[in-house]
Amino acid sequence: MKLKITSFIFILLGTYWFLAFLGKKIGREIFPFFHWSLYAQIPNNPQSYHLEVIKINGDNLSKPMTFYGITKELLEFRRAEFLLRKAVTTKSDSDLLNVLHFLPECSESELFVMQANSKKTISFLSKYE
Amino acid sequence: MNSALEDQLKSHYFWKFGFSKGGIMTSFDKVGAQRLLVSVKLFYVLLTLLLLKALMHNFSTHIGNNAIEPIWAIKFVSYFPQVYWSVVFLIASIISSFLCLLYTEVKWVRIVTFIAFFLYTSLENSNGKINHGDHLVLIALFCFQFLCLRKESAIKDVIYYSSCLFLILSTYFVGSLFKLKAGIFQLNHDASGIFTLSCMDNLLGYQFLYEKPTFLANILLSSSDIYGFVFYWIGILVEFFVIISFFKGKYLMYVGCLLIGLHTGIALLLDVQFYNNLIVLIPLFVLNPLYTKHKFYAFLK
Repeated sequence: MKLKITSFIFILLGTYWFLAFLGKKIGREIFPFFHWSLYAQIPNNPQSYHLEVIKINGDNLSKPMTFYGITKELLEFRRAEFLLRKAVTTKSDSDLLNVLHFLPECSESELFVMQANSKKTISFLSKYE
Repeated sequence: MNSALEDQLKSHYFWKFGFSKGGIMTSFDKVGAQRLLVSVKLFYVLLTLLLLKALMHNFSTHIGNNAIEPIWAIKFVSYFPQVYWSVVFLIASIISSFLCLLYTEVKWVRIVTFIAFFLYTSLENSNGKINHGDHLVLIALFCFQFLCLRKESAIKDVIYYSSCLFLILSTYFVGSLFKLKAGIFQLNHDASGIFTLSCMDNLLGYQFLYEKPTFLANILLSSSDIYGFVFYWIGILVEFFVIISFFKGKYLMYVGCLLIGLHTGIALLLDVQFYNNLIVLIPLFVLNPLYTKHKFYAFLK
């Protein structure tokens, strides 16, 4: 019993570090074991991620609806940005569905990446209906 | 029982350092359950206020918060009727946290609070991105479950309490190690990292891709790179060295102030909220009950 108390700190640290490193290894953080990646790397030439709804029910919108505008009331801005970035970088269906989930029904959208400083579109990735 | 445990701790390869002059383990008989109780109670007061603020200010966000990518802890929710689970967990956290104020000594109330808050943060982090704002709060809530907060178990409580402090300090320490590791990696790959003068400008450029930079960020962006570089390195060095204060109650108090300064600086510079960290740093570090000569507790007496 006494041994357990003095070792409490090591059991705690060991479990935390093991699961945090495991999260780092598999590239997916195991909540709540934070794997110390916050501001760890300095981003070089950052890019911004955007999605615009251009058509609803086949009709062109006079002004495209932005993803950040649509999710404004539902998600924190950083979270919305993260969803877009993830959808672009992983290109997985599930990540894309996480984004499309917020869009109006029967809409057509463009997902694109822009360079940070110039705000110039560097690639149109896809159109989604 | 206590004296046997004390003897064991004095010869323990880790805890024995806590028995040096002014060490955190020298004072458990003076500290007793009462001081720990004050510190823990204060933590729950601040937690209740924080949760009430979350309920008042972000109610619409909670209502619309459906788990897009549920993390493991809340997968069970899908087997239950579709209700506003985020609000349910938040209100449960507020009620249990409030009960902790009244019945701090009752262990199961603290356990329920941890579970409720854990489920709430799990749901909040089930939208594809994990936010680390509640990390320290979760560590404190987890460790506080083990406290007995009775006079006869003061020494055990000091171990659980200081383990919590060590875990928090190690989070900062390992965070700084990974910043150094990433910096060395970027240096080897000719990328601009923490060892280049423009590190802060690059970080701010990324942080404010979509939003207007803060007042402090604007000042740094418009002045010489060296200031940003110095600020960044002060942050890394503070994170790196805080762990050496662990065994000294007095230093833990100073470290608490230093970490609050660090979080305030980050908040002003990067526009990230930091109240969650304050509710841990103030009662556990700044008002550290393991520092026997703390004026706050002398004042309360």
